Amino acid sequence: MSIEVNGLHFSYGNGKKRLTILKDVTFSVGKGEFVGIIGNVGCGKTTLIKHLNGLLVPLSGNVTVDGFASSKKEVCRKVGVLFQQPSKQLFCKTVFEDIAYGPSNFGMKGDELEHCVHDAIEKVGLSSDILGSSPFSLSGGEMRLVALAGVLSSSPDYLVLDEPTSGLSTFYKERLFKTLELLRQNGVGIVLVSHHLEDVLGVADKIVYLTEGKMVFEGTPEEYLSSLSLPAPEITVLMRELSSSGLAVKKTVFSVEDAFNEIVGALSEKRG
Amino acid sequence: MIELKGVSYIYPNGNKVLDDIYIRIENGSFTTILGDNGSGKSTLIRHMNGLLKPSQGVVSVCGMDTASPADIWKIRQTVGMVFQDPHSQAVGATVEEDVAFGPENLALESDEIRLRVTNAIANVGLECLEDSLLMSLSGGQLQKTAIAGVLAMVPEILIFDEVTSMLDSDSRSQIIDIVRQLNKRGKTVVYVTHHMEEALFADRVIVLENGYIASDGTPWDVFREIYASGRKVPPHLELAFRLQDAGMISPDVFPMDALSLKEEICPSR
Repeated sequence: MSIEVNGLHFSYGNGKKRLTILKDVTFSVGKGEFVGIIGNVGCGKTTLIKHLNGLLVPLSGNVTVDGFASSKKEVCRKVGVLFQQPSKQLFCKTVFEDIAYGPSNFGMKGDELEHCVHDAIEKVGLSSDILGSSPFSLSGGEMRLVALAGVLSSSPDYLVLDEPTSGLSTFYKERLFKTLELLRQNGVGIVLVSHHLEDVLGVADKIVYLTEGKMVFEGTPEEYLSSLSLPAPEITVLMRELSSSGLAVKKTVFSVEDAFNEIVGALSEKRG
Repeated sequence: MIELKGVSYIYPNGNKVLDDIYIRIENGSFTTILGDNGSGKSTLIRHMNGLLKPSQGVVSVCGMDTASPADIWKIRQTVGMVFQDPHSQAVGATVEEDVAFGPENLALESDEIRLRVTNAIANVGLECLEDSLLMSLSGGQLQKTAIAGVLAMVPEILIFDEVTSMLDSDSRSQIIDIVRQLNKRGKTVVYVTHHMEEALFADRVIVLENGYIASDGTPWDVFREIYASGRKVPPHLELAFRLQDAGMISPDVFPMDALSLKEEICPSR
């Protein structure tokens, strides 16, 4: 059971105005797997994730979700997508109505719907006190989490998030990642699209790196950090520089904790 | 100069977002405002050009009271604002048309409009894209166009509200360089961000928490304070502070980036 992307090509426009966005992209997302998609703005990340729940159909190649072609209606419920701008995903008068919108359209009502909405708001770490508020009266971070609750209320098997941390403060970012970790433990396959390397490397099982629509890397975070041709987090850059200067430190470290231990160990040894 | 004296703000739903704020922004300074979502950052800066009027207290811009209808036009010309989403600020079809929109609405002479547009576009380095359609631009190029549009109004004070939050790291660096250059050329800058590392370039950092000022000082003082309270600071600074606390590097250095920290740990020969 997985999302399978095989030889995906996609272009906007046609003839001389054709703009090719994705070129032969192939990867998979299993249940409970966390895949990070990295690349600069304009590399095709957003176009790629629109293929994962059938919002776009491949020009060639194919995308399947648990065996269904992505254009099939079954896929809409299996793959939940959180877009970059939450204000474009919120449209009801109250937070409750917004979160309830998906499941009520799938036929849920009464106590079951009430329970589902409370469960979703709890999952994202927000208080149920805001259920009666307008989603547009909330802060940017709260709006994003409400939009996420609206996606989770339909219990997707796979969750796709497009730059979910942009505009989020550290507090809300940490809350978001706690929620994602819980979902992953419950078997939800997660695709996180971001241009913030540090956000992805610490949580993903697998990294996919796109440049101008081409997949130039697929592998573990450790393999990603070992590749000198790919952009690296600033702590990894520091460790590479220290290593080049002759300090005996591991070059693939990107967390402050690991870097501190490596540097203290190396300096202590060097200074005797 | 912008001065807020005892400013509180309560939204119509009764939500108090700012609580007795005193801030004085000096001419030519570079002030960064940090804070969690919902801490009151956007509400605060919307008081600085009269988009919001305080529920209590006084906000003055170069001596003009933002609550005075007679002064509001002059205040809006003095304080230019650039917002988070560049798409929502685009009004023209091309870069040139978009940047010219403000000066054209001031009914200036065409030579003056041409001069302002050319200067503004040069200030953000978009000369080669002057005739490009906005719809063909990247997010970073669109944000530069938005900044140029504000510069064409020749404001003395520039306020940037999370202008890099939708951009990748390359575009972010370019926008920060532009903001720093504008400050060096004499513009007063108030810069709101979630990215703590962007605050390192400021003269002063103000941290808002639940509508009040939690910290106010140099980046060094504020980041030390944040670190001491157990909260996150930029990764290279957290590493520097930990190495300082462990006696591994000098306690007096404040590395601006990872490569400066590398020089402290292992100086080049």
